[in-house]
Amino acid sequence: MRRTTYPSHVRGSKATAPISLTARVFLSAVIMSLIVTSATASTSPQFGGVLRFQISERVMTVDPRQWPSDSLRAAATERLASLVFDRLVRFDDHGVTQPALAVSWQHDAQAKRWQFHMREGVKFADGTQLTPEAAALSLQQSLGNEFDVSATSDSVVILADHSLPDLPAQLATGRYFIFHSAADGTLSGTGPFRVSEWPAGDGPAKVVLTANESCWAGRPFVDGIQITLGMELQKRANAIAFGQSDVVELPASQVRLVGQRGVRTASSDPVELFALQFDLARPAIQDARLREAISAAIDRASIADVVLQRQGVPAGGLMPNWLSGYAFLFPTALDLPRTRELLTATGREVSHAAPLVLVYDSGDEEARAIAERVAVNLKEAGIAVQLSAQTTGSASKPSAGDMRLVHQRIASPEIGVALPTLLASLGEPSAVLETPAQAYAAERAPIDSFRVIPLVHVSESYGLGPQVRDWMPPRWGGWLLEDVWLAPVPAPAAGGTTP
Amino acid sequence: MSFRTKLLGLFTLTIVTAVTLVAWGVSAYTRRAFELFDRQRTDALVAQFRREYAQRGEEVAHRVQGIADAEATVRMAIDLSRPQADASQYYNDARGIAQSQQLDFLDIVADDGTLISSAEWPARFGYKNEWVTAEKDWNSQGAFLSRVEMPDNVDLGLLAVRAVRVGEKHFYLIGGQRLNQDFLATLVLPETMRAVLYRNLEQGFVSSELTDLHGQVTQADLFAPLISEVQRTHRELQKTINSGSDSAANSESFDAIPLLGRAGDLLGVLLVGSARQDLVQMLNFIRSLALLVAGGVILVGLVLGWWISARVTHPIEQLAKGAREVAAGNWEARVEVHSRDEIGQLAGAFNEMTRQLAEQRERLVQTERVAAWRELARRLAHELKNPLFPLQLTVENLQRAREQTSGQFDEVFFESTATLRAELENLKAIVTRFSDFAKMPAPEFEPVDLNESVRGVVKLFEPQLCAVGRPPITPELYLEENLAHPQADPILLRRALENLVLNSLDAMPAGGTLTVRTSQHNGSVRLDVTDTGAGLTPEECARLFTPYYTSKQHGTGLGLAIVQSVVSDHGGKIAVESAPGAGATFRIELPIEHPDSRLRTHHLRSMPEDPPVSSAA
Repeated sequence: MRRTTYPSHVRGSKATAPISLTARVFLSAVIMSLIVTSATASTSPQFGGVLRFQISERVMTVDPRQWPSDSLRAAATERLASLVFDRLVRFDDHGVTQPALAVSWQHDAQAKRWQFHMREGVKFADGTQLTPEAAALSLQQSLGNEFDVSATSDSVVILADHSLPDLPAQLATGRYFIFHSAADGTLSGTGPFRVSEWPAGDGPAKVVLTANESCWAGRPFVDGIQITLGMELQKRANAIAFGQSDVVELPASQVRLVGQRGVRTASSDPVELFALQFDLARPAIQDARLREAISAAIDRASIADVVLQRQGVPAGGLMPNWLSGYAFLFPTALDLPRTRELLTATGREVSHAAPLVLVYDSGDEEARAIAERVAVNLKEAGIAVQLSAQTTGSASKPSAGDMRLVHQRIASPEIGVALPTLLASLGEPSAVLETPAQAYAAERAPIDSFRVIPLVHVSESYGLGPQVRDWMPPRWGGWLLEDVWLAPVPAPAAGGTTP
Repeated sequence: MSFRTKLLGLFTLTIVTAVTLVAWGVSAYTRRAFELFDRQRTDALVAQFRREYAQRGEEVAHRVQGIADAEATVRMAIDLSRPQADASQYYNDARGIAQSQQLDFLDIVADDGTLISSAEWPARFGYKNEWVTAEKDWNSQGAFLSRVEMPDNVDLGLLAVRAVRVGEKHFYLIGGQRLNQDFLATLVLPETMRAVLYRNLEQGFVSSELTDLHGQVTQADLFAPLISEVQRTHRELQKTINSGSDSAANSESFDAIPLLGRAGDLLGVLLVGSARQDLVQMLNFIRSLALLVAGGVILVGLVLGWWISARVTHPIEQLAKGAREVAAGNWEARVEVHSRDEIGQLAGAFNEMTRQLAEQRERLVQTERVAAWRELARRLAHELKNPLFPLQLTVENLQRAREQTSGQFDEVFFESTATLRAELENLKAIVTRFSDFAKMPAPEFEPVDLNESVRGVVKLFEPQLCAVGRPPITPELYLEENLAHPQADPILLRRALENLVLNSLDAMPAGGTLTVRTSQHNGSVRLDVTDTGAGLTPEECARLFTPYYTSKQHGTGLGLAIVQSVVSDHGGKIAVESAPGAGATFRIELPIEHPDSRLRTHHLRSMPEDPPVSSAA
């Protein structure tokens, strides 16, 4: 039996909460800066204010029991839910699992039985005490009946009929939040914020979150967050440019443009994948040589550098290189001679053949731009392509395209979790990956058979308003809004003119 | 058809023709005037389009020039002219600039033709537009029509190209606006006109490329022949296009104006259409009005024409009636006409003519009667003088014989009495013939075998045909078998035959051939009696059937008159054909059925209605 214990992770608290390491370091730095440089008070973290945030996804709920299947919407939902809920464990900045609501965990030799020891003294936002029973009930609903989740006096026990070596990493991402459902169905979490307002409907909506004063990790700096969901790109770009929002989600292609307008931007490591996925049931695309010709005809570098304005990285593999370490082994270069050679070998009269149908998500601006570029590349190579914009999601019917431009979010900084999740979402077989060799082989299979053609990996980017301080998300993306504070608005200079 | 009907028809025809000509003239003039007006409207719209087109081109060139002159563009050009310049940062610029300048198309192209940024097809960056580098001086050129490649299709744009020069390098700006139905919206159109744009971006006729202000044109296939013709000729054309069930009312006349690109290639066709509905409605109204007026005028004309024709034809009808009465023998017929015009003069002349005819006829009858009596007296004198002379000689011989012996006297006496008896018989026969002619009986009709009658008569004259001491006459009979039996009086018919045969025998004192032929023709039987005698002169033929006329020394002139009388009583015809030296042929035609011939018998005897026909060569 192995037992791992990590120090607590706590943030600075406005009230009686213990001071976190980050806060202590921050406070020390502030004190030192006050002493040494007599800096102004504006450089110190400030409590208060409402952070205005605009994102593109229209998240319908943060209820872990109603988790969306779409990768991008799930990622957006996860980011929002992480403001309200906590998990048993979390990833640190290096992708290593760290204690959260569980202070320690242990498992048996086969890694089938896991026991997570719960943190004491934690309360939900509605004041209910967090108990192992409540945590077990949450996890049982999230994990499903495949797992047997039970509670002891101070821990949660998870039993499975197969080995789960990466269970903590799995529990550190996705829907596996700990929540409490009140009698009226209202969900409460232990996170830094609680939901004050969540409008219904499909259109743009403004969600209001309020600081959880009794958060076990400490009260967040801001009093609340207004998150506008489902905002269009142009409106988001204008909002950040004209000070109508403090933080906006930006597509990679707009980062440089927004930056040129004097807006601060922040980008993660590449955490999203654009790839072509073929429908092998379609006769037109069953010849692997044609699919390989398509792969060789696509100029990934121009997509990354021009279409995505250098916010993307040409992708030969499914996993970004920072995560897998072997992505450079997959070729990404444009190879038109190879394309011509393959097309000749297929005997395909491309000029007379019916155009291949490339489907992309109509609501995804980047997908549209990339799809158009792919179509241009293929047209210049002699392969006619017809673009078809379709709305993806649970309500949409299966596409009738020969190939689909998929846009996937890397689900976890742990490749053992991220790759199987991505393969599963692509409809590819996945297995437990315990070694890099296994991961490489699993990733290689769909690429070598050209069932999936990776195109680019893209960063997650945000535009930041001038008042936003300490925007320090993990390198694989996500939000740490509990650490963000808002600098006060500078007072007008004395003697200034009045309009 | 009566004269009145003809006159009425002529009136009607004249009126209808006149009304039709007037209606047609008004309709044609109206149509021509409307079409002229329509032509002027269309020409004005075409001129307006040309102005708008030129103005739009100038606007496009001006806007592209403005972009080229902008400081940001110059900075971009300078930046891109540096080695290792990052062109990717301008990837999105074209779209923003195009939006700000209200351009549908804008391409930023590097010195080598490489596309840096494109508003209409951003994804095409990095590929070359080589045609733009081929032209040396774009800045002096205006806008032109061109095909514009789009991600999913080909568009039609009014483009202008401007170059920005940095050192030795040129950067090109290709800007333009889409030529589509929005452009048509700038044209101010009258209510009944419309403009249609065909974008000739593919081979053949593509109905989806035909748009008007409201989008794709319905029934676009109707335009296919016109578009195809413009595609073939590249010239302006005019054509009327019909649509709908009422094709005339739904027709539109279209002017097709080809829109050419820089290389003279046909890229579009502007169709300026003018609905002919108003014209058709107006023409229909005029036509209806013309029909109504024409109908009224024709009706009035008919009544008037009937009245006029009745007034004109009444005297003529009176004249015709009078003429018919005169023809029927009423020489006292007169026409009552009181007008003084030509018809009145004609009626007066008619009355005068009938009066004079009656007087002349009376004089002629009296003259003929006197002549007939003279002829009769001459005949009688001649007929009677022949027997009287022997009688006189015989009586004188007998008186001289008293001086002779009784034996001689007896011999003379007996010879003289025999002579006297013979001459008296002769006188008696002469008187009998005249009596018989005067007492010609009415025929009693019964079916008669004409062939049998012919055979009987010829047999009767056989002794004379072969008489000793005279040249023989050969009879030849050609009798048609199955000859119908005409209704006739057999006795009178036989008498007529005997007279004809006897006349022929008299005509052949030197012998010859007597030919008798029967035949049947169209409801009548024909009898031809031909001799080979000396023939007759035309004058003789003309008088041949006149009673008491004879060309023989001892004839009474009654034989052929009797024949003519019998034939006439039977409703038949008799004719003679002869020429001097060629013999003569007498032809009798008798109707097979003649039920009322009895009624005409008496009258015909004295005044044959249908005189015999004579002809002489």
